[in-house]
Amino acid sequence: MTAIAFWLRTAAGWLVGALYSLGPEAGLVLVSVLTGVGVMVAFKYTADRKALRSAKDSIQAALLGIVIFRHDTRTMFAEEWRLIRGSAQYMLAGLRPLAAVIVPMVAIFAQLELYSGFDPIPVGGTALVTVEAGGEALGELAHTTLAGNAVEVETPPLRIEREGEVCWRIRGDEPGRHRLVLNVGGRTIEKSVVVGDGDRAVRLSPHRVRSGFYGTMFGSAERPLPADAPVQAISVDYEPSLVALGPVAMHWIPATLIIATIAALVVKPFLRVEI
Amino acid sequence: MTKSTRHQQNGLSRRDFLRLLGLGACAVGAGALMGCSRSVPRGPTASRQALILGFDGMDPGLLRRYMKSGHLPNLAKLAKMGGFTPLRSSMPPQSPCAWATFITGMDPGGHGIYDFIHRDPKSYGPQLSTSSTSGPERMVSLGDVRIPLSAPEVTLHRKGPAFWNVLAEHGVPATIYKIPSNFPPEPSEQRTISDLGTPDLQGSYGHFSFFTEEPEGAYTDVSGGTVYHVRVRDGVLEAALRGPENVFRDSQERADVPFTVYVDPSNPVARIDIQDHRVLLSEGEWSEWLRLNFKFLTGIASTTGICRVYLKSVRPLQLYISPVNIDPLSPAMPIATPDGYAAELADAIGLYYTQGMAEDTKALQEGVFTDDEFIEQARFVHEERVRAFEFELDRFEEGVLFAYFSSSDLPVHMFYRAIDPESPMFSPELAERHGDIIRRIYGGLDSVLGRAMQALDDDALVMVMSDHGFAPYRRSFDLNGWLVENGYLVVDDGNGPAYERADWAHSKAYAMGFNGLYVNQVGREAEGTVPPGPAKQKLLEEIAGKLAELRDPLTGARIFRRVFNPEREYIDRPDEDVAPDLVLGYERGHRGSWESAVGEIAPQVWADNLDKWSGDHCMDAEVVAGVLLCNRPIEADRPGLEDIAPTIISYYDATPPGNMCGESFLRRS
Repeated sequence: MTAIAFWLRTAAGWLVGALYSLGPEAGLVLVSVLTGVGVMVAFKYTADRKALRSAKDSIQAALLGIVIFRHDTRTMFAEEWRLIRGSAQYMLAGLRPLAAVIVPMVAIFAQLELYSGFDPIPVGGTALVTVEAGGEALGELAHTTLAGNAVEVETPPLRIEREGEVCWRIRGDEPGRHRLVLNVGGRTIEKSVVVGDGDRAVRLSPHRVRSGFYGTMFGSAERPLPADAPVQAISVDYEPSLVALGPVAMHWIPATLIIATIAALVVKPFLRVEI
Repeated sequence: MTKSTRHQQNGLSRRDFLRLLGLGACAVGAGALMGCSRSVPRGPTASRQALILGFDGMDPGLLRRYMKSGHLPNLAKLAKMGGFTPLRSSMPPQSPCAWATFITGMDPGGHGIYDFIHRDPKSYGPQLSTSSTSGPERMVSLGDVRIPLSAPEVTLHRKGPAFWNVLAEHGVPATIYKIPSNFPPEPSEQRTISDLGTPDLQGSYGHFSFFTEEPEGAYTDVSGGTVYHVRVRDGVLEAALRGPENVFRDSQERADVPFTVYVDPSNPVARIDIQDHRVLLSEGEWSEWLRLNFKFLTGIASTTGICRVYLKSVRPLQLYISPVNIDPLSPAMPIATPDGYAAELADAIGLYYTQGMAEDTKALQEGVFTDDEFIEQARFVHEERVRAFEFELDRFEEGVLFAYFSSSDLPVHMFYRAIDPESPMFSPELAERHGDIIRRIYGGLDSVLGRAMQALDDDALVMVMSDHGFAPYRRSFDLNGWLVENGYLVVDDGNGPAYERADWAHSKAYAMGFNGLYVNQVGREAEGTVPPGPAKQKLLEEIAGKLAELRDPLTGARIFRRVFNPEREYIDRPDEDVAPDLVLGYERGHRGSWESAVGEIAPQVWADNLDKWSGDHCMDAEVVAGVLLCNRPIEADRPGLEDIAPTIISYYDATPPGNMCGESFLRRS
């Protein structure tokens, strides 16, 4: 599973990275538009148009029946049941196209999170670096050191036995992608960290994890830690980012869904898609 | 577009890409909103620039001394360009009264602010003078939950129109950055934001929290904060930050926010986890501002506040959390006009103190802060103000820009002992270490002026003023104690404030506020004994005569320069239900006790002032004049605070309203 996650992540990373190379704004818009168009294409070629049409007709008829027979309780209840049944049929008819797009969409959205979900550490700004050791291994981390190029480690390590964690606070001195080097018992482990003003499209990697589908798929853009690594994960607490859609600042997910919906509605007549 | 934070310096950014992406309706809406923020129609003289810098408490004597020693080149230059003169303060020369006079051009009889503290004649208890809050008129209870059917009200008690609203009528735009005695803000189309009088989220003038492993009794009688004695177990402390009162619950429990502190076994470092924030601090470090959400009813009612955390010590753990300030991005109470101005500033300069009197003097007085820690916290306050001022200065093109700085007031209250060898709190070591702190504060303000003078047009009007000056506060006089000694106030031997244990049926007078004395008047006070008219006047003359002759038993010096009946002194007739019956003007070196100011009785009538609060101005206005510097000649012999508003209005060729009692000190062009 970890390998599948790795390859899915890599493929989606190439696609999203290529679009984001045009700029962070253009990247998000293009990915969103492609998502909307892709869903429409999936509907066109995988959906049972007849079943969709039938379910929609059934819903419309039920709604009409509720209005016309609102004084006849028995008939109205029957129409409401028909409405529920029609809605369920409609959702069932949408399952096949959904199944077709769900995997690539999840992979793409995971990459969007890395590009648009966080802000780099501002120049002169600070962030927390957390190493998860697991309960037993915390002792090994007692004399761990953290260093980085162009990144200042501002505090001594804070060891939290209860959480199995060690934390440092770092400060970004120069813009760019830098390396943090963790030294544990003679072994070195690296973690990328990005400092900058966020104007360029940069893929951030909040976590570097040992393995596992979830950890590899989400929140990481780095190679997994070796299986025998003395730590389970290293994380950088980047600040969550918001995108400005008109005058409203929001998370990238609703922004993407709004743009994708507009794109889907625009291409729908051209593709002659039944939804 | 992809990455947006609220704190963005530049007006245009990559985000505009999406803004242009077919979101015309949104853009129109945003444009309309922006248009609403400045809707003062331009008058013919609006293009003139007037900058007024309000340096709270700047003292003419200290200013002269530091100018003479060459430390204040910009202030000296301004004085040379036009003039420098002491500025008559209001009487009493307390900030709420003085700034209200500045704002309205009226004396306390006109604007109705007579002291920091007024009293409720029905309960005899203290009240804030500048504003009051009342809860919703009607509530519906559902079990423990209470649903308000109307909004709570915050009322400004200051009367008289603000000068910036007079300017608005004449088409002159104004930005009033931080103004005391204007909470809640007087409705206005101008940009204004309130200062002194603005409470924290708990409704107090600033209530800090201090979590310490020190033993019980290490801190006593902490009035401006709460000290929590805690124990760190296995490197972890679980605690809660006190939130505002939960008005949505019958139980009125507070909307506290739990937090966890992790302490390293040996390194001087700790992490504070509170809501979404994980703050790692080394000993002696401050966090940035943290936005916290205080939930009243989950998912239905909440408010946000901001605070900063200071890790004073790791072993033993000592953690200071600042008063929770009203969040400028989403204010729980009105603090600015237009409504969005507070957030606009926060977008530009980052989060900032919104409470008035933000320098935490209580933490220093109670020993929670050392001198150096207080200086650092005061520096944060000053730096925020400088950032905001520079933001406004950069976009200042016409009309009036007023900016208020508090660093020449509260820190001077606390460090006067370092420059006053006669202070009971003076020591050569203190003078060696902090003897130059006031000079450095004045130097910082001089730099602010220098930056402004560089940025402004040559023909701009530039004025520096203060509401009062400073004098040493060496000895305390407890007026309530004196009234008891002289038989005017009768109290039982119990504990508690005088107004709770007084025998009002046999009491004739009582003290409340720093400079006020009230008669227990029939028909006004709940249990009045002295009828208004000749009997009251006779009593007042008797007390005033005794006080005027009063001498400090230690020094033999008179302690009052003036004791007067405000009805006879103020130009506008004071509100006799609110105004004190006698106003007391203390001589240099003396001040009323803290206890009498809030209606209590001190253990002794006379006492050395052994508090770090060692400089003051709640004396006579003649003792603590403020300063006025201007780049135009000052055409008045003894200008006063009430003259500034008419001067600004006249500068724009407008006629000051008839209720202003001052007049312009500039020659008409």
